[in-house]
Parts: sequence; structure tokens; C-alpha cells
Amino acid sequence: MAEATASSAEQEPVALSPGEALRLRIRNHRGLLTGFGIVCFVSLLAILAPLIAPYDPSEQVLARRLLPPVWVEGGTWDHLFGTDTLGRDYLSRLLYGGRISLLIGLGAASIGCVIGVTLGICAGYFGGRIDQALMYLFTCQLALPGLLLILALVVFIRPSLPILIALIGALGWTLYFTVVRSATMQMRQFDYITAARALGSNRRQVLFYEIMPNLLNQIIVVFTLEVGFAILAEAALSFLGVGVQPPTPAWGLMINEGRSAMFFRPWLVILPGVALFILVIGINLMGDGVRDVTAPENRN
Amino acid sequence: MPGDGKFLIVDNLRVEIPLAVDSIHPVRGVGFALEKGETLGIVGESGCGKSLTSLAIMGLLPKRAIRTADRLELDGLDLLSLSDKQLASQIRGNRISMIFQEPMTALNPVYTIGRQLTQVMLLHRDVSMAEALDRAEYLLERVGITAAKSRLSQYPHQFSGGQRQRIMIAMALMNEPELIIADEPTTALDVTIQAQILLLLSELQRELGMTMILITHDLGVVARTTDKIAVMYAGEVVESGTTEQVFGSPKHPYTHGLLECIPDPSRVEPGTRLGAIPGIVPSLIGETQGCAFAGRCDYAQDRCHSTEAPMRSQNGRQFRCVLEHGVEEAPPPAALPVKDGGPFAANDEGVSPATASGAAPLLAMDDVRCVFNVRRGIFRQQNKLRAVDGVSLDLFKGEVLALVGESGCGKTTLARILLGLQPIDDGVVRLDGEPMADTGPRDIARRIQPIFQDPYSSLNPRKTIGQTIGRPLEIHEVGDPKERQAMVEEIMGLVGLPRRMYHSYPNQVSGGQRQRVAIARAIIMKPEVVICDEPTSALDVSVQSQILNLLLDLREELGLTYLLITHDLSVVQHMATRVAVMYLGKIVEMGDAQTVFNAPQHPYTKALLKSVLSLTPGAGIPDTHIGGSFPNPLDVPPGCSFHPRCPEATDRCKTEMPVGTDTAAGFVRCHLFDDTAMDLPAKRDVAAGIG
Repeated sequence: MAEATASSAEQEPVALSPGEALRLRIRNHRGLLTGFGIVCFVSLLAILAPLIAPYDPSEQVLARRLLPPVWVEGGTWDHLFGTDTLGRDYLSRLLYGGRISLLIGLGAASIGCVIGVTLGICAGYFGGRIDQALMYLFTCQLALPGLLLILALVVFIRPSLPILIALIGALGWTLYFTVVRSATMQMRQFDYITAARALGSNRRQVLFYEIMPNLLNQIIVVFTLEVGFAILAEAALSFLGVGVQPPTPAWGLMINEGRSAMFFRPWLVILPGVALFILVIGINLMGDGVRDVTAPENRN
Repeated sequence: MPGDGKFLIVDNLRVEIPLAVDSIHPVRGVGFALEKGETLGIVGESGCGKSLTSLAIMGLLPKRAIRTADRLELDGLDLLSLSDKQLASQIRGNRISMIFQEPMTALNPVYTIGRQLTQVMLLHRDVSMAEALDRAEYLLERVGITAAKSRLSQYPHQFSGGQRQRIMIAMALMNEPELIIADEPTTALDVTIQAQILLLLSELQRELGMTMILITHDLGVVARTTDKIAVMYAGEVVESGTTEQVFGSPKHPYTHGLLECIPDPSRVEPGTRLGAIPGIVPSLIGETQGCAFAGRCDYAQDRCHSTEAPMRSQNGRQFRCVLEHGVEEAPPPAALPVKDGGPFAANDEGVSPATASGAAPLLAMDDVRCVFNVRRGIFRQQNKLRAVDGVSLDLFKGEVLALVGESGCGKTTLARILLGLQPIDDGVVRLDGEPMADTGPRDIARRIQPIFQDPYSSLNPRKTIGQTIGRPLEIHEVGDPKERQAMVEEIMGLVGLPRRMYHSYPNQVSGGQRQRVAIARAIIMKPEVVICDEPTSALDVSVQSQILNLLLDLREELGLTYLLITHDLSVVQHMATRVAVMYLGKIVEMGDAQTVFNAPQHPYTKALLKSVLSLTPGAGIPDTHIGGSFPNPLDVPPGCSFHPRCPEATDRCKTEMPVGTDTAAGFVRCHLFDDTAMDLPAKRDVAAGIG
């Protein structure tokens, strides 16, 4: 396989700069383009929600409670996706909810990423005492159930969206940590690290120029997992009453609100579920695609 | 071709591995026949289908692979007609045994040696456990493992690499197989151990009358141990015949080229350019057209590219080439593309080794010690590993100092110390007279650069070749991006990398090219010293010769000084002007290269030199007469650390460490030479005694 790539690479036009090659690979990567399209589309809908939403998402019209979507018998064009138990327009709520869910998903996953990757690189590269200390922290975190910890913390801090994002993010670093730590440990022994040090690279240059780019694959994969996880964590917290506070719409919250009526009004759960599913798929496709086009070793 | 009445007949053996669009053909019509008791050597570069050929005979190919053959017979038994189940129960491990390359992974770490040895026998034979254990004990003793009975209950990690390979051999012999396939059995081992294992294998083979197929890329091993040779290239046997025939007068241009690549002092003047086979092994995907070797062949004609070369038979040997009589005669060394005189003669003007002139050394180590504290778990006792134990070493401008020793002797730690990457515990390292501790890491980096062994781990997979080579310029802030690119392209030309690879990633180029990238990165800042840590031991001989040629050329062109760290003495003999032999953190002998090779003094040096396998067909494996196992560096023997393996050890050696003496031929650390000390202070300036 490797030989095949080598020979096909030789046939490639001579001077393809990395930028051009990258653009070419992006254009040929269907998964990446699809994922990017989905994420863009969902983000756009969320950002433009105030402009395109037909109703105020928290406006309750109790007379029009639990209307089914337009394609189900009894649905009307006034409410494309129907209404919920309090008679709020479901399409509007979905659009506004996308803002919260995206914010929580991306925000929390990013916070966890920064914490986990930093600690993981430190533990993996420096080893010894630093590694021992961080591993101790890591096992402590693993021993505590995350949601319970957030619950306990929320008792002291009034729940608000930024705090929720910070809490979910701060507790979502463990996966990044293990993955980055073991990858760095493995990489530390490679000769190219020694070569970089022998070239006079300082510690910062070794970490950011040599090690970081090689961790990108793993980080992207974990990131896409964590986005989905953060959105679901919000759902769970909302269910327990400490997450997003009603009437603010959020997909997780909507799923939980719809659960009581799930058997007779399945769309209440299905619609936000599908939205969540599409977003997570999009992020995963994008993550895989970014990994594929940036990782030269995986192009066989 | 293969006649009847032979013990093993392989005819037109093919292996095909289907891919999504095309298929790989790693073995394309291999055929040979062996008499009982004969040894066949299969040689060739990596990727030529050697290992797959042996796996195909065993029926151990990956599931997807398709094997076809006209005939595949073991002693008249048609192996093709047997099902996988029958093969497993009757043939594998019973009539055909295999010895693998990697002794560290070939044994299961969770079972005792005794269990693993006996299991093979219990599986195939109707014997009791006691009988199997008896046989295991007998064989362990036979392969040179002492106190065999007690060691049967030990686990693989309690044995050294050489011992594990011995155990593997014992395991292969449990059922008295008729055919042994040894796939690179000694590649992972040190030279002295390699010689011992090969000696053991050939003794056992003769004694038990086994037939053996020895697969290796080491032509010295093949020349000395085999009766017949099959040279494989791109899945085909391109030449076969008796060992004397093939090595004496190679007919196929490929065989010829391979032999030219070997730094054998009896064929090539040390320090001169070696022959080389340009290019790399072709891809094995799809069918090839014409002769697969044509693209790399010096003798290629137009028709070689279009029509397949015919198989020619002469005096019981075969070769596949358009040339009717093959390569007529090995051209005399003078006809080789030798740069006039080579660096040893040429360096009088440019770089002259300053050893004799008494000039100050460029790099000097004075009684340097480096100790690692090894501790497993918090409450365990701390052990001291003296990786470098009082080494004094001078490196003069323009010389090639070779540092020789087995793995675990501290060579690599020494290299790290000289690169300024490893703090030392005692002693002082001086760079141009200045203590290295006072020199900043960036200054050291500009003057001393490394080249590593493994070209696969020495390049960052995420950086293009241009980025990798230009990185030193970035770190040291030389020039603007345009100038840097120009400098990188210039240096790429110098090391023989095509410019189109500027934007390639390391995984897109071959091993030899990767090593060229590593060399380019090391020399782009025009350092004074290049520390080459086993620069060629991960490469094929054909590539090794290219890299060695490049290193010699660069030395001449840029006036480089090399510290060459290696265990391959034929490389040392070819490259080095001075040699230092290291054993367990100490230098045991040091002197001018020619003196050391012609008249070694220390028993360890003698053993090392004996274990070099030069291309002497039928010469057999020499007995090095030294003890088998390299001692645990954590538990260094008292007195002279070499005494447990030394054939000339006396009682004094067991208690007293020799201080080392400067004799006429150089420095040696051995009690045998205490009396011959010259009138120099024992606390030495070693290099001054060499002249």
C-alpha cells in the first residue's frame, strides 16, 4: 500500500505546495464537505433564529397545545413542527434551542480540550513527578461521578448558561488527558524529538512545533465525541432541573420535556432528537475529514 | 527444473494478495529444490518476497492471500493437497519448524519456558509430560542454556535476547523436524551473539541431518553457512546456484550489485566509494512488464523493459537475464566509480586528521560518568546503572572515530552526552577547550548534530521534507523564508534528494531517502561534528552503501568530523580512521583503525573481530570463544567487567579492574598488557599515544 502511494505521489505534478495540496484534498473529501455543510447549516439557522423563527419561542398559547407537525393528521401550516405541551411553536423552539445546544457543545468541548490537552502533554512529556501528580488528579476525577459533582456545585452556584458550560467543560477533560498523555509518552521516545532538541529547539518549540501537530488526530476525534457528550450532559442536567432553566429552549431540555408524552406525541422527542443527531453526525464527519486531510500518514 | 528424488521441491510458487482494485504479487513463480541436509540461503532486499515465500511453504499466509504452485512437496508428500487442519496437525512444528526474527516477541510472556517447549511436543506426539520435559531439558542444554532443569520453570523475561533465541531454536527442534525455516534468525542480535547462534544452528543442523532454509539480508551469514543460494528480487528468484558459484562469479546484475555494496576490505579499499544499486525495489502491485530489475540495472537494454528475461541454466546454476552469460566478470575494484584515492588520501589538503600533530581536540571527554538511578516502584531498592563509567575520549578535527560495542554498553548515552542532551554526573566534556556545560544548547546545536539509526522515527511524520530540513534554519533564525527554501533545495541536491520531494511527507519516500533527509537536516547548519548513531543498521545493504558513500563524500566536501557509533564492524573498517571499543560503560581499547583491525589487543576486541562474517563461501562460522550472555548493566561483575566472558581471564581479573595502559598500538584496558605499558603516565592523554 505504502509503495502504491509513493509511486502515485511521484506521478503527481512536481511543485504542489502544502497549501495547494491541502485545498485539493479538501475538495476531494466528500465526508468533510458534507460535515462542514451540516455544521454550517445548523449554525446558520441558530444564528439567524430571531430572523427566521415564526414565533417567539416562549410564547404560550394554551389553546393550541400539542398540535402535531404538519405532515401528521391534524397538523396545520401555522405550526410547521406543531406545538409543545404549553402551546409553544416547536419550530421556533428548535431554532432557538440550537443556539444553546451549539454553545454548550462547542464551548464545553473546547474548555475540556484546553485543560485536558495541556495537562496531558505535561504529564506525557515531562513524566516523573508531574505525571504522578496529574495521574492522581485524573483518578480522583474518574472516581467522582461527574453529574453528581455538577449537581453538588450547582447548589452553591446559581445555575446560569456560562457556569453550566464551564462546569461541563471543566469536568470533560479526562478523555483528552488520557489520549494525549499516552500519545505524547510514546512520541517522546522518537528520534525526531531528540533531533529537535539537538537542533537547539527549546521546550516550547518541541511541544508546539513537534508534538502538537501529531496529536491533532486524536484531539479531533475526542473533540467530536465530547461535543455530543456535552449536549447530552446538558439534557441530563436540565432533566434534573439544574441545567438550562425553562423557558429558555435547548434541545436536551426539549427531549426531557417531551418524554412524558412520548408514547402519544412521539414528535416531541423525535424532532429535537433528530436535530441533535444531525448536528453530532455533522461534527463527527467534519472531525474525521479534518483528520484525513491534515494527516499525511493516513492517506493510504 | 526441480528434479525428482529431492527432499523439498518448490516449483512455480506464487502468492497473490487481492486489493480493492488490483492485487499484490509478492511471490511470482519461485522454484527451488533441496536435498536432505542441505542449507538454502534466500537473500534479497526487504520487500522482495523472501518471508512470504517461507510462509507460503508453511501454509501460514494471511487469510486473504491466494497461494498457487505447480509443485510443493516435502519428501514426496504433496503439501498443496493438505487442508489447513492437516497442515497444523502433521506438518507445522512437527516436520517443518520455523525460527523467527524477533526473540523478544516470539515467546509468550505469560507461560513458562518449560510449558511452551513441551506444548509443541505434546500437541504432535503421543508422549507423556515427563518425556516432553526430559526432551526440553536435553535441548536447552544442547543449545547452551546452563542449569536447564531449573530454568524450565522460568518466564521469557528472565532470559536475555540471545538466550531467548536459543530457546526458540530448542523449541523448533522439539519434534526433530526435517526442515527448519529460519527467517532472519540473528538480525535482532548483537554481533558476538549472532556468531554464536549461527554456529549453534549449523552444528545442530549437521548433527541432526536437518534441511534448512535461511532467510536473511546479511550476505556474510549466507556465504558462510549455506550450500545453495537463491537471490530474490521483486518476488522472483533471479539467480540460484551453489554458494561458491553465486558468490564467486555472480551472473545476474542484481547479485553482482548486491555484492559490490558490501564494505568488505578484501574487495573494496576502506574509505573509498562502495558500489551501489540505484533506486528502490519496485511496487509489487499488478503484473510487471519485462525484467523487474531493468529500471535499476547498469546492463539494461531496451528489450529488458518490454520482454521478460529468460531463465538460463549453466553448470547446475540458473539466472534470469537477457545477457547470455550474465555479468561476465566482477570488474576489478579499480573499475569501480572510485573517487580518486578516497578521503584518506584526499584529506591531506582539506581535512587532515589532527591526531598525530598533537593539535587540541575538537571534542574532549575527560573521565565522564553518567549514572541512572533505576527504581521500579516507590519502595523498591534503587539501583545504579552506570551507563558511562569514566570515559575519556578525544575527537580531533577531520577524523572518523568509530565507537564500537554491543547494545547496552552505553554508546547511545555517550552520544546524548556529546549532544548536550544528557547531564553528566562527573567529569567534563570540552568543546574546543571550553567546558560544554558553559556552552548554550543553541551553540552546541550549531556545532554538533546527530544522525539516528531509525529513519522511520527520526523524522516528524507531520512535517514535509522541506519543513524538516529547513527547521534548523528557522530555529536559529537564518535568512528569510525565500532564502531558507533556496538553502534547503541546495542541500537536498547535495545529499541526492530530488527537488520534487520538497513537499512530500516522510511516509511517501523510501527508507534510504528518509535517511538522506535526516543527514540533510544535520548538515544544513554546517556543523563541525556529526554523531552518527548506527546510521545504516536499519537499512538494506544496497541502501547502506549509498548512505556510506554519501557520508564519505560529505566529509570531504564539508570537512566534517564524524563520531560513528555502530556495532557493524565491516562498516567501521570501511569508514573509520580511529576506533574505540566500549564495554559496559568503559572504553576497553582505542587506537588507530588499521592497527586495531590488524592487531587487536583486548580479548573483547578480538572476539568482536572474529564475529565479523566476511564473504567467504563455506568458511563456516568462527567460534569467538567468549561467554554467551551480555551481563546485566545493573549488576556489573566485579573486577574487570569482561572477565565472565573472557577466555583469558585470571584470578586477578575477578577482583581488580585494570586501569588501562597506553601501548604502542593504542590504549587498552586489560591486565594482559599491564607490563607492556609505555613510558607514559597511566592517567592518560590517550590520543597522544597514537600515532
